[in-house]
Amino acid sequence: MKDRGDSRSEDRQVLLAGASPRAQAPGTIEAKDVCLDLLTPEGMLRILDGITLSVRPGEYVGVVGPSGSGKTMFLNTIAGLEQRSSGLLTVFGEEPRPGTRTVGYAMARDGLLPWRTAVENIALSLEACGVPKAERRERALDALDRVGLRTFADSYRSQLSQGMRQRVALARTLVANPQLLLLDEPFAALDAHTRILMQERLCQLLEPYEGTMFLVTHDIPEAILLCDRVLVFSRRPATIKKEFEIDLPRPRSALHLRSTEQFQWWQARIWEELAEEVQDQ
Amino acid sequence: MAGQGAVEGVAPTVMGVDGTPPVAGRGQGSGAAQPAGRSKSGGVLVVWATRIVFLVLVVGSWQVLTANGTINPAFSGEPSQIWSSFIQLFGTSTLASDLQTTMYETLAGFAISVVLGIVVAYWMVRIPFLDRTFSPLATAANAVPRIALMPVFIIWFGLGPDSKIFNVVSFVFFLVLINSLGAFQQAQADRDLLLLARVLGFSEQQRMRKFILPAAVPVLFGTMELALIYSFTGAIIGEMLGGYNGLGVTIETDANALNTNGYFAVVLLVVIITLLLVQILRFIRRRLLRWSTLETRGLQAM
Repeated sequence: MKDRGDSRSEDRQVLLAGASPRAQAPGTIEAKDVCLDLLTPEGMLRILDGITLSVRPGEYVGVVGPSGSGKTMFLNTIAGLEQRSSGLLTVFGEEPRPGTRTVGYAMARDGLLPWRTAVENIALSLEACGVPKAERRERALDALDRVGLRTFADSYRSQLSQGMRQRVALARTLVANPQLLLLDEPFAALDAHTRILMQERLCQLLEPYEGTMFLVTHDIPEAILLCDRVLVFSRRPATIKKEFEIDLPRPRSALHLRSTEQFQWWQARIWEELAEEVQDQ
Repeated sequence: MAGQGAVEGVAPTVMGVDGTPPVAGRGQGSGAAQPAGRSKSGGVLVVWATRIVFLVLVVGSWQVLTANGTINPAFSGEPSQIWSSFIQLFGTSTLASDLQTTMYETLAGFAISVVLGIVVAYWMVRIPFLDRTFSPLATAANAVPRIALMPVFIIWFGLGPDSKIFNVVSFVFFLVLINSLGAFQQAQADRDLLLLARVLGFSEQQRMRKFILPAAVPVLFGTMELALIYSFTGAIIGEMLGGYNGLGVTIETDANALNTNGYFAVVLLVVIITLLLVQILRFIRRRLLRWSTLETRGLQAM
């Protein structure tokens, strides 16, 4: 486990400066027998088939699984974007619903508004919750600083590279100081090299982060690098096939870790589980 | 980008017409080796040269054919005469009031149509029930031949500007409505942005204001350009079918008197004014929509 130490609120300030530190403890995800059926042209389709999961406060959990296995659907159910068909699910002890300030959601595509500059796009996160305009800009600039794009504050989406867009999107997710990060293949749209750099950067950003993270990815090394626990989803209808507690020490560094034997051992074990699910596709 | 592509395609032909020798000899190889900046500025010159040559050819042959009697100038007008009629037009006492009337009808009709069209489209998108109910009716209303109804509009609103404004609105409102509806619906089809709006917890109204409206603005500007041209046409047709004064009345009078040159002179004036107004609109568009220009040009614009 990460060493979270005594300097909790101080650390939060480092990551998300300008945000008021909250007194309450970070929350968890509690799922029991969560099922999800979706109406498709071929009729009712079972997507999730009894997912039971408990995410501890401050834990980073990653999900890998075959394409179309319902990983994203599970994430969206946690985000309150999809209504589960049965089972119990609470986020911070409450029924999940979208648009809560405590949850930050990032998707594979950057979703930046082309008519807004980078800093305005980040400020968008703060507009729904009534943060005053001057403070919005201040905090947005700060978040931009954290992803290393301060000089591009007034650039439009079309003037940024794909990697920069993704960083702006990440800053937009972080700026509202969420207690739970839901990341849906955040780097899937990037080329291989940029992705590795972004993983490294996110890893550094997450090091002082106090909240909980739930990550959906195709990328096994990404899951190992970022997460304390990796879940392998079966093919649809999805169940949790296997769980791995990744006991690699922190702080982690992508560049260093990748070459270690431990890392490769984890990679092989997770792939072994995943391969069985992917093969019959 | 498109403009540049066209330039490159046109270049060899134009050089041939101008008789500029080196280009044909150089071949493609050295042409490609030219720095991009130079070939671009050269491209603009070529475009303008082509345009002017084309216009000179069209107007010149018109002039020659009417002067030597191949075409009867009474029916087709004669460019040199049209030009002098055009100059004379500015000496006539009625031009100012004609222009004023037509511009008033055009701009009033345009403003009403654009505001009404966009507002109605906005609410039809926000309330799907309205969309489902009235969309087919709007399409049907747009299919009504409005010119045929102009006499009725005159009965309703008299021979003054009101009937023309109504005529313009009957044309342009539906144009704006249908285009704006399309623009809003297209913006609403962007699932990523809608997802983002939900995740960030925006209300329905905020979603419309922050996501749907800005996305639709470039299309709305394109629609406004069309609307402006149709407003002018609508006002002039209205005047031609019956009115006290206005450019359309002058056109009608000239046509009836077989004053073909005077007729074309007024048409020329209308074209020039329309172009000016369109340019103003485009200027505003460029000012307001820098992001849109950047999007379409891509990184090259930097």
